[in-house]
Amino acid sequence: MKTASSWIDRHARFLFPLPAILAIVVLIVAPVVTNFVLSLYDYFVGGRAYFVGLENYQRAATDPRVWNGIKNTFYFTFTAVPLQLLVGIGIAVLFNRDFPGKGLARTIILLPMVATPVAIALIWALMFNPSLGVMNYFLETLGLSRSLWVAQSSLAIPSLVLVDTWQWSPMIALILLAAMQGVPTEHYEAARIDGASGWQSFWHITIPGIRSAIVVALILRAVDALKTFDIIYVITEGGPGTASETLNVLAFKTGFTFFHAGYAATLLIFLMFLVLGVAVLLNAIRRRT
Amino acid sequence: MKARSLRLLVLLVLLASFAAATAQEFDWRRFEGSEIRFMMNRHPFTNWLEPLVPEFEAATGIKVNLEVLPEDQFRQVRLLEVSSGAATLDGYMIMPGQVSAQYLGAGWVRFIDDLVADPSLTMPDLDLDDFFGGAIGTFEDDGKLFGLPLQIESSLLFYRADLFESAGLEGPPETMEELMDYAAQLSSEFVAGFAMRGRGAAATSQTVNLLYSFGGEWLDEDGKSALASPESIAAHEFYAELMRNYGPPGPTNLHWAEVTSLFAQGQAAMIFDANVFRPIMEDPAQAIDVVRENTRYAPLPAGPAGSVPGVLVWGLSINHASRNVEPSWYFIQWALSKENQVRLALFGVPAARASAWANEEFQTRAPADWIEASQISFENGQPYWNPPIIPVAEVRDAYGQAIVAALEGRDVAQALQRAAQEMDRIVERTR
Repeated sequence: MKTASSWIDRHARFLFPLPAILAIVVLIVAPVVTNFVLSLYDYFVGGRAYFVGLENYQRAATDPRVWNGIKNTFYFTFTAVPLQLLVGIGIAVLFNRDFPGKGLARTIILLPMVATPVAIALIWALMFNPSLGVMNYFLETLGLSRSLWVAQSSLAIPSLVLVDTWQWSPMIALILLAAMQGVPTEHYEAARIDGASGWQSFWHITIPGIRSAIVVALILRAVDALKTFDIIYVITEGGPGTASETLNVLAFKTGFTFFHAGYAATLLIFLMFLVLGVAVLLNAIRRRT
Repeated sequence: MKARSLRLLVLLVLLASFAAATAQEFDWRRFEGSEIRFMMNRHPFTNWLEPLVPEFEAATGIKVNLEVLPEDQFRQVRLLEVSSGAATLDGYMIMPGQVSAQYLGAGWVRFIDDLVADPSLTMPDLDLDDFFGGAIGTFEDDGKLFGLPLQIESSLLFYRADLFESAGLEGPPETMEELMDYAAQLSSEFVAGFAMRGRGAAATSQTVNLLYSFGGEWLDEDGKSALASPESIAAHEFYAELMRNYGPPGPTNLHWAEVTSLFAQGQAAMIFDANVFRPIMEDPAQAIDVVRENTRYAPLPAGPAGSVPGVLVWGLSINHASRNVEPSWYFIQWALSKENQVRLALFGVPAARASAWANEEFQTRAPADWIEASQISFENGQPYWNPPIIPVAEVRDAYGQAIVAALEGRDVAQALQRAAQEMDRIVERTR
């Protein structure tokens, strides 16, 4: 017993992190490696797997549908995330002051975030229906003309951005609200004494005070938005045609509908580097600020 | 001594033939104690079957394990299990129009002709001729059977008698020209003259009806894509004109749910989709009153090549690797017997046996024009509502891109040309 415990004592620095290391190996390293190995094969599920080296990568690099997917992925992410940031800041500012029923209102705005994405997507799909959906009813009530929403190629991604913004702005608001409450009130008092307007104190006190929280929120959201799957797949399936097909949706279809497992793995490696690149870039920006 | 051995021999022969004669009697309890596992799609048929399985178990002493999965996962898991060659799976639901090229090509099906021919294994009133031609035809490969159909469906024209009357139209359109003409007369600011699916790959199971009726085919004589043939171009130009001029807004968004909702909500005068959606038009929770009272049914209007609808058939097959072939065959026979097909039809699923459709009680449950139009479609039906190749889903996707292009007003011939090339590339690439 004594020898055992002294053995543990001597090796504690290896033993204690072991469960964490094991978890990382089993849950992250192993799947990534398997995925990479799979990407070197031409494997139609149900048939044989043929080793093809980097052929899948060559094909992907020249596949117009892959480039369309990458374009859509960026289009979606870089419209949705800035929009969510603006809406999120707005909500956070609103909730940073006192008003009756604040607690209740705060719970309510968090609902889109906690609801099941597929259920949300199904409801939005109904709302977007050009003939029967409620969105066109709203437009007409406002005196605007009807829209085709996701049924029109050029509007498919903007419509999805709307859903994503509705769903995820509250999360940004939540992060920023926490940061805003950490900004010392003395700063605002001093500014008021110096005669600063509300806008000035927002711009010169609030924003610098929450800058690092903004970057954190941006990274979290951008990484997540690049990988968005559920709402896109349920509402448009990447359509009309391939107008809203992101890289993630294309990879899913390739693997689970078309059954080309090897090529799907290749596309996911592409996506991994894409997400990694954006994360590294945003992180570099964060370090500089 | 010789005479005695001869007598003994005669006795033995008699005994043996007596034993053979008794063995030839079909006996439901012959495989008592065995256990089988079937993989099922979460389909109305399965919902109907599950509570009845104990009846089969009590009658035969065979234990049945049904593994039920939602359709997408069902297809993925079935593919993995069947291709692995494991004997743990004895049978499965299958839609030959979707996967027969792959399953037959890989030798994953268990042909059942030897079972059907053996009177000791096949119940006397199996009556294969009772299944609709379009249904059992999908389970035939070179004259050999690899399963039995459980349901058959086909698409019909749903139309509104009241709107027809106020437009002065008599009866349903019988030709494609009439369909276009009627759609023009029926369409208004609030009501689309006609609607059918337009959502890429999902629309191909419906546009194939036009393809066939205009004389088109999936493949030409050399096994190459025939999607860009003159007949196919004519069919899709007709489709695009019909939908763009008289269809609802945003046709590329239309899946079956959108198409049937439009009709149920009184926003389309005619639609073309699967006959199994009739209950929607009779449900007060889904259809408005005027639709419930005025919905009528007709077969697909005839094109230059006649009225050739695709039929969609689900059935049951035995796994090639199964070691419980006979008990599995018992289960299939029981599930698809005449009595059970009547029960299935009364449950609301379009049964694959003609006798179930002839059932008196069933006839009182469904409108006569729906029954008649459905039966006409089942007899004329073309089982290949999907291309007879292995990578079906990927080809449907490529073809779906052409459908979207056509609906968006782009050049139809060019879009089909591209789809045909893509289809050939996909087939070539899949090995």
